[in-house]
This record gives sequence, structure tokens and C-alpha cells, in this order.
Amino acid sequence: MFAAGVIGSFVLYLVIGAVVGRKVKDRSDFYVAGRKAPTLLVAGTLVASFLSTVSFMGEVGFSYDGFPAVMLIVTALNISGYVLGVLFFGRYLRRSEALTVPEFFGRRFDSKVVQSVAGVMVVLGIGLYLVAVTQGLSLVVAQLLGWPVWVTVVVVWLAYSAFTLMSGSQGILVNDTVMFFVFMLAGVVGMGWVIGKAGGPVEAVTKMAALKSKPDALSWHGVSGDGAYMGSPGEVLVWAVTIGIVWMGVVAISPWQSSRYLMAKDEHVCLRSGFVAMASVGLLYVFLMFGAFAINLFNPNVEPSEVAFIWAAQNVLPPALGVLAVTGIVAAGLSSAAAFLALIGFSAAHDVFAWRRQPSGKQAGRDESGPDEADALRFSRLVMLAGGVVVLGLTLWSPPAVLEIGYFAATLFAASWGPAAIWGIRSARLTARGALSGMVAGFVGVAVLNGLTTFGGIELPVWADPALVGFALSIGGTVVGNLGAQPSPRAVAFRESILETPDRERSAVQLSRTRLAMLGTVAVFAVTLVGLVLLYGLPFGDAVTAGGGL
Amino acid sequence: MAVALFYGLVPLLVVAISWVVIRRDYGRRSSRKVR
Repeated sequence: MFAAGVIGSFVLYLVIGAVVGRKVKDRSDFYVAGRKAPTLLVAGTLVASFLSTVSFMGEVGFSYDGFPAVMLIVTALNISGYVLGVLFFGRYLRRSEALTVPEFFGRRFDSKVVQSVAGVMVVLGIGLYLVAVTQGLSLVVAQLLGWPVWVTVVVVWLAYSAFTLMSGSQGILVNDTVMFFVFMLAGVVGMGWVIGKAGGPVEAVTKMAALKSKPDALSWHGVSGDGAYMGSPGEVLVWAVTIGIVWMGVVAISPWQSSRYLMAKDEHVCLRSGFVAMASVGLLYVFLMFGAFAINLFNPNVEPSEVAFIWAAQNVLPPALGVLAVTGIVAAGLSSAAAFLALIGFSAAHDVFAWRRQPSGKQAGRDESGPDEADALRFSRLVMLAGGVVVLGLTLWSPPAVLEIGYFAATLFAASWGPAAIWGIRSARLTARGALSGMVAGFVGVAVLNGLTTFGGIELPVWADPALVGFALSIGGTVVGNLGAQPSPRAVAFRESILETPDRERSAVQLSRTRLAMLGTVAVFAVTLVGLVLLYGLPFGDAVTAGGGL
Repeated sequence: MAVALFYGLVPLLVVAISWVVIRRDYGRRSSRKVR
């Protein structure tokens, strides 16, 4: 039954890819879905590209181990990256009408070298991330279906590569949105069922607070005693805030998030999508984190803890809901993999060798029709296929290091691109040399520090996360590189052009629709706040008082 | 309880600040340039 659910979902995504792929006529369709996407599709792809097996396995496992409240501290900060990211970066990206994020950098700094270097970072960083996500996804599917891992790697790779190659961003938008609904339902209904079966929220919280094997797990610092592998309460708090801020940067800047705004119909769609994504992930994580810890009430010994949700799907949920949960976990992984493969292909074809071509972009007179465009589209697909084959080879031959590689690659972009992205918009004085040295310093800093901590056995203090140190290096590199350099007139003119809000975006109707999205988000978090206070804060406080703890 | 308040209030604060910026930049009476 699980096999039928997973394979059935693969077939559905392929059919969608084939149908949508027939509408792809040029690179604008293939790269940015013709810039026609409405709020639902942009929000769907934002969330689907962000959440992967890291969320439904890694973070669920962390919460199951005894850190549900700690994960909520991280999440409150990282989801804020959606709204802050679109305000400080995403809407300017959309306004530039670039095809890729590296192209935006190239035009902002009037430098093909900056575009090429950013393109190489996308190919390397996201290539690694894709290897990790494919490995994680294959391990899940292999465990569920009982197939050999190498067969699963090939099947999983074929599933996401086929629809991505056929339909590019058009198909990814539709498939991501379908997958978004599948894993939202899986998380909210699946974990809601777990909590319900444990006696409902209040009773479940009371029972969880009394769990002898994982004491204090519902408190702000997480489990105490033998299971407290995150250190003292103070260290846990510093870790949660640090990681929350780093991931806020990932959500705001990383190419697999910010590039989604390039597909939006207009800037208001970007703004609304940021609100919807923030509310969706915020709601999902309340269920996911408390549900994950509630699995302890049925079995406190699931090993490894990363498979806690899969164990619950097979042993706690009714069969139909179990299949939905498992399909949702696979969907979260597949959607990220498809987005990553597309970004690698786009940057390899469009950015890496940018210095060999003429300026591109509508404002630079790009011709998006005719035989040249058909060749360019074919070339993009071939390069994407070649990139995919390399990723498949690496996935088959490299040892699994899913979380280490995934985490490294995800935070890489927040650190190395953050200063250039935000600073480049806020200041006219930032030059190509400053941006380039900042990007390279951040990239190398994160890569070296992560290598030393993961493979060299070196331990950094909890506040010196490699991504934060890399971010500081990137700022330092930007300042030093910018010394004595003057921005080119074209770079200054480009910045001026994206700072100006187009008249068509100043519509009262549009603003009132955006207000609705904002009010909807306020409603979601107001209800979440009241719900958490009544169903978690108060019962947990009562349980602690009754137990004489804390 | 602190986590419940943090999880509800931080996003609400971010949304409130962002709405001020959006109204400033996209309202009809705003200046043309987004700063």
C-alpha cells in the first residue's frame, strides 16, 4: 500500500510535467514560468523548495529526541525570513526581470565575472545539496519499498529529473504546489491524529510533561539529563537563536527561495506569497514538532529518531492517513530536488559562461523568440541533463552524509550572498570588486569551517556557527574589496531603475488584496498564539507545578 | 509559556513592521522611490 502511494505519486508528477511541458516555448517559460505565476503557485513552490526530508525526518527526529519547543524558537525566526526577504531582496529581484539570481548580481554590479562566479557557486553549492537530498530521499523510499538503495537512487533521480527537464519552472510550479498540499495535509492531519490519539492536546501535553525517559522536553531548553546532547540550557538557547537567524537568511536570500519571486506575475504576488509561505510553515511546524514529540507516548525508542514520523505512519495512523504521511515526506524531498536540479541547469547554461556572451535581459534587449531562442532552450535542457547525470553519479558513489552536506550547502548562500544582496540594493557605492570579494570570502569561509568541524574534529563555540562566521567574513571581504573602487555608471543606473516602484504596482485594488494576505497571516498567528497558550503553555505550567519540577 | 508567546508574537511583529513598509512603498500617496 505504501509502495502504491509513493509510485502513484511519482506517476502523477510525471504526467503533470508532461502536460505542462508542452506549453514551454522559450527560456522565459522554462526558467521563470513566463513570469505569470499567481500567489498560490509562488507560495506553494516557496514552501515546497524549502521543506525537504531535513524537515520531515531530521527536524522531526530532533523534536522526538526532546526538543520540540527549541525547534519552535528556531522556526519563529526562520519563517520571518519570508516576509523580510521579499521586502529587502525578493521584490527588487522580480523588478529586475532577470532570468536567474546570478544574472541579477551580474547586472547590479555591471560585471559578467560576478554573474559567472555566482553561477559557479550555485552549481557547486546546490549540486552538493542535491546529492544530499537525493541520498536522503532514496534511503526513505528504499526503506519503505524494500528495494536496493542503488535502484531507488536511479528511480528517484528519474522521477524528479524527467518532469524538471520536460517542463522546467512551469512544471515545478504546478508540481510543487500539489506537493505542498500533500505534505501540509500529511503534517497537519497526520500529526494532529497522533496528538488526538494521545488523548487530545491538553492530555497529550500533560502526559508528555510527565515522560520519565525525556524530562523537561517541553520546556524552552528541551530535554534535561542523559538525553541533553545539546548542552546546557543557555547553550541551547544561543544555538536556537543563532540557527534561527542563519535560516532566516537562507529563506530570504538562497537561490532556491528568492528565485521563486522571478516567476511571480507582479510584485504584489511576491509580497502575498511571502505572507502565505510564512503562515503555512508557521502552522505546519506547530503540528510537526508537538506531534513528533507525542510519538514518544506510543514508542519512546524509535531508532534512529529521524524515522519517527515514518514509524508513526506505519504503526499509529490509520492506513490511508499513513500512506498520505509517507507520500507527503517523499513529496517534500522530491520538490526540493526538482527545484535544485532546475537551478543547477539554469545557472550552468545561463550564468557560468556569462562573460562569453552579450548582455542579456529584457532591459538589455534580449530576444525571446525565433530560432536562436529554440537553440538556447535546447541547450539549457542538455546542460540540465548533463548536470543531473553528474549528480546521479556522485549520489551513487559518495557515502551518505545527508544532514552534514545538506546543512552546509543550505547555509552557504545566506553567508556568502547575504551582504551583496542586501547591501547592493541599499547602497550605490558597492562595486563589483567589493561584491565579488565578499561573496568569495563568505563561500570559502563557510566551506573551510564546515570542513574543519565536520571532518577535522574541530569544535567551535556554539555562537560561532560556520555560517555566522562566514557572514562576518563576507562583510569584511566586501568592505576591503570595495576600498578605492568606483561603481560603473551602468551599475548605478541599474540600481536606480530597480529602486523605483513601477506605477502599475501602485494600485488600490492590488494593495487591498495584499492587505487581505497580511490580515490572513495575522489571523493565523493570533490563533496560533492563543492555541499555544491554552493548549500548551497553561497545561504544561500546571503539569510542572503539580510535578514540583522546574 | 515563554515559547508560546515568542512563537506567536515574533511573526506578528514582523508582519506589522512589513505592513508599514508596504503601505509606504505601494500606497498611492507614497514617494516614487523605494528606499
